[in-house]
Amino acid sequence: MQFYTYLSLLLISLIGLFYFDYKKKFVIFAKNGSSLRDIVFASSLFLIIDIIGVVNNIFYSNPKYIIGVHVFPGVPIEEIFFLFLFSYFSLIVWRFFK
Amino acid sequence: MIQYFILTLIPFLIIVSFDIFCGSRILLKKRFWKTIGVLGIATLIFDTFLTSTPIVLYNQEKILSIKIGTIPIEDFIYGFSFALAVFVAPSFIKYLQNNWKVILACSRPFSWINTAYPFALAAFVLRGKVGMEDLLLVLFFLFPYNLLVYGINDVYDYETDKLNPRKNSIEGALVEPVYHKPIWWLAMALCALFLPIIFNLGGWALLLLFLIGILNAIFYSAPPIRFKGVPILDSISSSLHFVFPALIGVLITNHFYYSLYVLFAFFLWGIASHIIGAIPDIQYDKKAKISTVATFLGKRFAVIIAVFFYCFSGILLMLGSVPMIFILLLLPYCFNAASFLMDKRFSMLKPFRYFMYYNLFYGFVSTMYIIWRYIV
Repeated sequence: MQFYTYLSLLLISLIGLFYFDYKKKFVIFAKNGSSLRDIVFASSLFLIIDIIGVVNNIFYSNPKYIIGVHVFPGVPIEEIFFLFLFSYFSLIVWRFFK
Repeated sequence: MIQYFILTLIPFLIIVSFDIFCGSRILLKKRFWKTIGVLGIATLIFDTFLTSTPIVLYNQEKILSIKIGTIPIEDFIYGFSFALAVFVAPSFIKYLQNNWKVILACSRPFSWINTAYPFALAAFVLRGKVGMEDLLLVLFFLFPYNLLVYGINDVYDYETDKLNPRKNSIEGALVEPVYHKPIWWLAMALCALFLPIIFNLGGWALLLLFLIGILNAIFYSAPPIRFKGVPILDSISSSLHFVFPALIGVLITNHFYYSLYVLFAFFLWGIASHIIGAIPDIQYDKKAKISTVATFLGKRFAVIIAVFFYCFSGILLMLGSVPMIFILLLLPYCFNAASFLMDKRFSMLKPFRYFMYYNLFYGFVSTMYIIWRYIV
């Protein structure tokens, strides 16, 4: 079960954000549908940075806490969820202060 | 090898500079700093969990020793840049949509190969194999480097380019002032992206040389130095634009002394070719009171010097034991340069056009020869 620790944490946080966003219509559920594009754009940029970090042995994930599915050698699938979560949360806070 | 600090600093600088120069100045908004405050607290909680469990591990030799609890300080720079990237994304996408055509045109796609090829030839042939970093640098010398050289040139030559019929063709674009800032920003941002690769390949010495090459490209056109306004120096600086990629290729393969004759021959070829490029502009440059090597030497003497340098570069190639085909292929350059003296009309564009197409032919033949001689 330890393998699912990181993924579960990310998914629970994401579900919470989706619910909040669905209620408040801040980002993805807002009428202007360009937010998803912005999230994908920024996440892709930082995925490249993550890949460079892994290739250069700067940081890596503990195999004990990840499910073991990789999108790039050394970059676990959890990282995609993390990038999505961070950018989604950033946009929600940004819109909240509008 | 790259440190985490450098890995976070480069995107930080690129995104911040975009916001300041081309974006919607999000950094100046109170709302942004409130958001960053909330994100900082969230990062502190979430990252403490990640680093103390530990789900994410760091190579201690590659991070700064400054930590907040168990979190390296670089994680906060990463988070800051990431959040700003999300917020500037709409302006950045709009920036690409509005500017890509002009940016592409002013990078002179026809000339991309002239800088990428010398690097690729030096790196691939001398190393004998192709690495991922070599391929990335080929990309650099294809587009970002040409955007730097020609884009900045178009920015500073706007007033004189308006009078020049050679612009808005394969020989250059007429870039309206509204595009000047976006071109500057993109050229610098793309160069910054490649700094870690250069550092990885050759450490501080290569990085320093790379920066000198970048500065040469900028100050060829940009004040206060503006090499292109100083006769002789304009040719030297212009030639170095093309020698620089080859020099980087030679240095990363540790074949500098072996390639010295060839590099110097290429340098002289570059000077001669710059002179050929400056001759058709003599009248426009004189009208705009711009001094170039061609206005300084005069048409006839400029042609003689160009032919002499082409011949001299052939002699150097002989001394460097380069196959005869590469030397014989230089002869059409001499004939083409000499043809300027035969052209009685004012328009002297033909020899220069021939020169541009002949470069492609030279590249094709020499590539075929290399494939036949060293690969087949």
